[in-house]
Amino acid sequence: MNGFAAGLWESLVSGSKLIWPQIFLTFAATVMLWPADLFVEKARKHVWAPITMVILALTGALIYLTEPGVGFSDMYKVDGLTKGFQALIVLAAFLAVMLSQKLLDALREQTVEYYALILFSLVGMLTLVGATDLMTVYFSIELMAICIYILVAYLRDQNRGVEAGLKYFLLGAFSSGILLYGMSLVFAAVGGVTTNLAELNRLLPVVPQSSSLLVFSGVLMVLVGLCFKVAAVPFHMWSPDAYEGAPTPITAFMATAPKAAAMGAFLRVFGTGFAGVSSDWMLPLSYVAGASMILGNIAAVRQQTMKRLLAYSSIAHAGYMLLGVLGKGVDNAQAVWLYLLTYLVMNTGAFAVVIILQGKGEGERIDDFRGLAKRRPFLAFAMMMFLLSLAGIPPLVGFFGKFYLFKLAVESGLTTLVVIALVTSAISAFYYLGVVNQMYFKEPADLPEGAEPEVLSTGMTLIVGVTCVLTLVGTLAGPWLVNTMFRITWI
Amino acid sequence: MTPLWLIPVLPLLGSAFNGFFGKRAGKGVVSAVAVGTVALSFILSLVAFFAMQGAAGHRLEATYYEWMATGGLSVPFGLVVDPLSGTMMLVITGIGALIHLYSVGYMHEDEGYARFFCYLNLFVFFMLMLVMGSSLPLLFVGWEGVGLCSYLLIGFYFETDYAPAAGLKAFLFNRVGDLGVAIGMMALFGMFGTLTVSGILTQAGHLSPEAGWGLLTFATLMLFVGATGKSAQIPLYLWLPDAMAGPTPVSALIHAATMVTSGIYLICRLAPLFSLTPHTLTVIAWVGGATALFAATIGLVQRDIKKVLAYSTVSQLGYMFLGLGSAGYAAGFFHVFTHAWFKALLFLGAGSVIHAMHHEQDLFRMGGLKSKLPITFVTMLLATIAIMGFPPFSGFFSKDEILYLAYLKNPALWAIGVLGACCTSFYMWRLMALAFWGEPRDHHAFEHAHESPWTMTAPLAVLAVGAVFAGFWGIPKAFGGSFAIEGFLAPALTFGQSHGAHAGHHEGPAWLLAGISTTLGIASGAFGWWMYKDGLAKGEALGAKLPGLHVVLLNKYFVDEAVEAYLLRPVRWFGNLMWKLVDVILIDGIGVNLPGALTRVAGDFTALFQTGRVRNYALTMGLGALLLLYVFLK
Amino acid sequence: MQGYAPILLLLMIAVSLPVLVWTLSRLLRPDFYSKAKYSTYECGITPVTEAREKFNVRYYLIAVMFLVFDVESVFLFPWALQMKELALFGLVEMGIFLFLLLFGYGYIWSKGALTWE
Repeated sequence: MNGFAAGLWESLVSGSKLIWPQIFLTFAATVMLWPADLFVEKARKHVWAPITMVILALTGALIYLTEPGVGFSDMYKVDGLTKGFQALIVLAAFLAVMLSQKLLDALREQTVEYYALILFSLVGMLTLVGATDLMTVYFSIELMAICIYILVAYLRDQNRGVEAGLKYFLLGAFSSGILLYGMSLVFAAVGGVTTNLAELNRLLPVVPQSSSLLVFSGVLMVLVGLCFKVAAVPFHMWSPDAYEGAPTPITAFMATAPKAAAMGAFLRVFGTGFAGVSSDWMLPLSYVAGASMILGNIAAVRQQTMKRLLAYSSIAHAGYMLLGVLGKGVDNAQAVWLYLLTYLVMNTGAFAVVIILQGKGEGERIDDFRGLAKRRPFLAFAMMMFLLSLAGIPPLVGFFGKFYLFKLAVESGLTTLVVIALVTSAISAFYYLGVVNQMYFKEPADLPEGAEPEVLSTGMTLIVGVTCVLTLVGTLAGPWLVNTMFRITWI
Repeated sequence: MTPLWLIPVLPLLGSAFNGFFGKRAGKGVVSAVAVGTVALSFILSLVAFFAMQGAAGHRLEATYYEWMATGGLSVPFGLVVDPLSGTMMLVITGIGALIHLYSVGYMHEDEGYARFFCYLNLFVFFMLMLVMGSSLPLLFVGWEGVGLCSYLLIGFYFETDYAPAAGLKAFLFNRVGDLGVAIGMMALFGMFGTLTVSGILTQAGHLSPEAGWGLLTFATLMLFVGATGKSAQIPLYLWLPDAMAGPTPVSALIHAATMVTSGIYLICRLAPLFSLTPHTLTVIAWVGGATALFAATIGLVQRDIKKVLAYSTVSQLGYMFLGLGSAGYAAGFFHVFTHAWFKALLFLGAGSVIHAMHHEQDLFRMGGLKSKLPITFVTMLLATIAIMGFPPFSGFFSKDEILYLAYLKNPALWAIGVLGACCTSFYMWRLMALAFWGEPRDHHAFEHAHESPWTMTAPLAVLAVGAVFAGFWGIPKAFGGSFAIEGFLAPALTFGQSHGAHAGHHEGPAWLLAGISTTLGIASGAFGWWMYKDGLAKGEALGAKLPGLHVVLLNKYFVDEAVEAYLLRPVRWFGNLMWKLVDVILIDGIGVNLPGALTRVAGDFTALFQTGRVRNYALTMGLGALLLLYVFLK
Repeated sequence: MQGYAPILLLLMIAVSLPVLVWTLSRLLRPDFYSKAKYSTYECGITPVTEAREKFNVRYYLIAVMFLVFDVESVFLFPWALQMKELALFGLVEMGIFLFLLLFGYGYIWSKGALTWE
């Protein structure tokens, strides 16, 4: 073996240690698709859900065991940020799978592909948060996105879902183009020598004056591409439609896992790669963040369906989280992580309630929540807690995350944006409380004939109960969370 | 060592049990739990009391955890037993247990039996927190809590019109006082940087007497404002007579024996502070003296048996403050102690009468009950003798010590006090004569009158023993006694400091003063008895001779009417204005609905862009990217 | 920037050429319109259906699969040329690649994408 090949071999062997979770996931999902699925009868496809959950749990363990390090010619890195966000993503996927069972059973749409696609998209996300090279960023975003396009359109006989999937796909392709274009401009600006983030950070601030336009437009286009992924205004247009059209568990999944992955990439690309040219992107990103908070919250006010409301709310929350990117510090990244964790808890809870109600065809429209407190007091209470927490009302866990994020943002000098964030949070209470109002102060609409409230399945009760408890008293775990959070670092 | 926390927690558990399971558990279980927890608490209090006497510095303290810790403020959650709180604990749990037992008989027909005991137990819990709290915030929790329970119990008969209104009145008057306590607490925190009682008093010991000017005077005055609210002194006394709308055992426990004395307790607790502020003491003495006389005169003409006792309570509380203001903390507190026995007894006796007369409270419709209710009669007679200050019954010693100290402070205060005592004697004998002597004025009720069950008479008997003998704990020095209670309370009142509790010299014509006041008291009592023993005729004739005074007294000096006209009406008018102008138009309209409407409009506007057409979405995205490029291009 | 000047030049030429050609032909050709000129030209026979026709969806499936394997071969060529240099590393890498494709092949086969009925 000659020296060149030996070097590559060495790199492959040493690098593969870093991506055991991804390798395991790829292998597991592939085997699930073929040949394992051949041996599962059509009526028993639901067994894939628990298997997927086991796989996810094992992945979580692998993530925990992975030692920090750098590999694949500095294209991928495992550090605190990687592991922290990977854990979030796997947790989100786990919850999404739990949420999926009931709905897919009800629709008789259990297939192995559904779960395999979640796992494949996970491979993309896990790689994305560790990507230290624009190339890695790009292909992992694509891997993640393509799987999700399909998942959005998973319910093929529902026009709405197919339409949403197609829209998402087209716009996603468009944004990928912009992203890739931006990357190539950056690549060109530094003289076509590297796409590595650390290298870029070194080279970008010292490019000759004549290339500064290239740098600016390149960075901005990367920003646009990533903003599309986190659904920030004005690159959010796809998200309400996609959220509404996708199967509800996938909506819950999309609102958390890809968002967490994209935020992780955002933090790393802009925090380490483009940190030196922050004067180029700080102001545009501030405007994007501010616009997301304002538009997301305002547009949510008039929504008629719960999923769209939550979609707009997630746009607003993306705006809040961008505060962490704008803060640029490691502690800001930690605050984003904490925020995502709390968001994951309350968002999953809220979607779980929607799914439970959806079982009988209700739950989509906000009107369906009318008088819920009388019919299902526990669900109504839990939903109220989730919504209040999303609004950031103390002492619920949402307040905890928000407080920490905003505090650091103020310390980073983003006062104006924090003021906008606070004002729009107040607006958000308006529509969240609107739903509470429907649940508690309106008489229930007459149920259709024979539509008895069905018994909750254990899994759903568990999710709603656990997330509700976490939302209520999660703040008690504050010191522990903050401690964990401090391990989210980039080396 | 006794687990101190059990003492308040037991009644709390009882309250929780009766609140949650009372309805299903049945009356037997409810009574057992309610009486049992308080009785257990009493036994534990006794144990703690004796343990305290053996402890160093006569003080048991248990700190459980850090309750609040923010910035410079650190408040431990701790309980204290010292002579002061220990005595209060015994009164609260001891008399409390008796009244609980009494209530078993008194309330047995009531619908809200479990609810009643739930509230009553809760009251005991909060009252114990008030006296045992090692810091002012904890004391304040109890302070607020007893106010709440008082509110709940006054409004216990919520289906009537007057009871909830009376409850609300009590609550509001108390809020005014509570504000005073809160402000006083903050002022003390500002001065001393701590809110634990021991911390404040230790630091106060290092202050020079001149420090009494300024902030400390302000703080103590504010605390006294709080005390006037809770202990029904001028000007915040109006709620107590109305509070008689609650069940009679409540009047006995809360509005005679315990809660209303918490103002006195607060001042005794911080006695070294008050000693540093002579001006505050003077204010306290005059307010107390004025209240003592003022309330007693109103009591002369009341028809409702409970109203008489209520005004009597206000008046007796006035005496206590008079004692405190004359730097006689031990004397004031001694009166709290003796008063608890005989006033609780009087209320329970009145309750027994009311019970026997089928909820008839009007004295003018009673009469001749002596033979029908022998036990009630005898016990109430003893209490009456005690309250009028006839030696050697309990009231004599405590009241005489107060009057004596008042004389030393200012002879005018003594004169007021003696005048008040004469009124007290008169209205008490009037009450006794109207209820027990003469011809029955309501024959139907009289025929059906019967002595109460043992659960009611047994507490009467026990309390009567106390009413007679409680005074021997503090035979004043002037009469050859040692005023033992002062020495006993000294560790708590002086907090190991030289100046502090009453340090004045006993000089003055003690025997003469006592002789004058006792003779006058007996004379006016005899007059009252003679006037009413045969019926209403003589009293009406006297009233007709003094029409102006009679009307003024009957209408309680028109204070309620004046408050209504000059305070409440303008406040209501202003409130109405604020509601219509500020609330409806400014806040609801411009402050809330306008932004809401704007948000909705803006929401509709944004919806215009969400067309559902993918090309529009792509256009928005592209334009957005171009806009960013264009705007921020350098 | 200088290095990209030829690309810009090429772009300009690429755009201007069709513009030039179309404009010239527009200017030079004679314009005679008639209805017959607008009809679909199909060997002189009158058209019976629309020109746009739906294809069986399986064609697309086959096309996509073809594309996948086409790309595979695109990868195989350079590897084959550099096989000696890449040695064991190349073999393993290509093995993983082919292995994954093989799984995919097995998957579509088992899904019945290769059967045509």
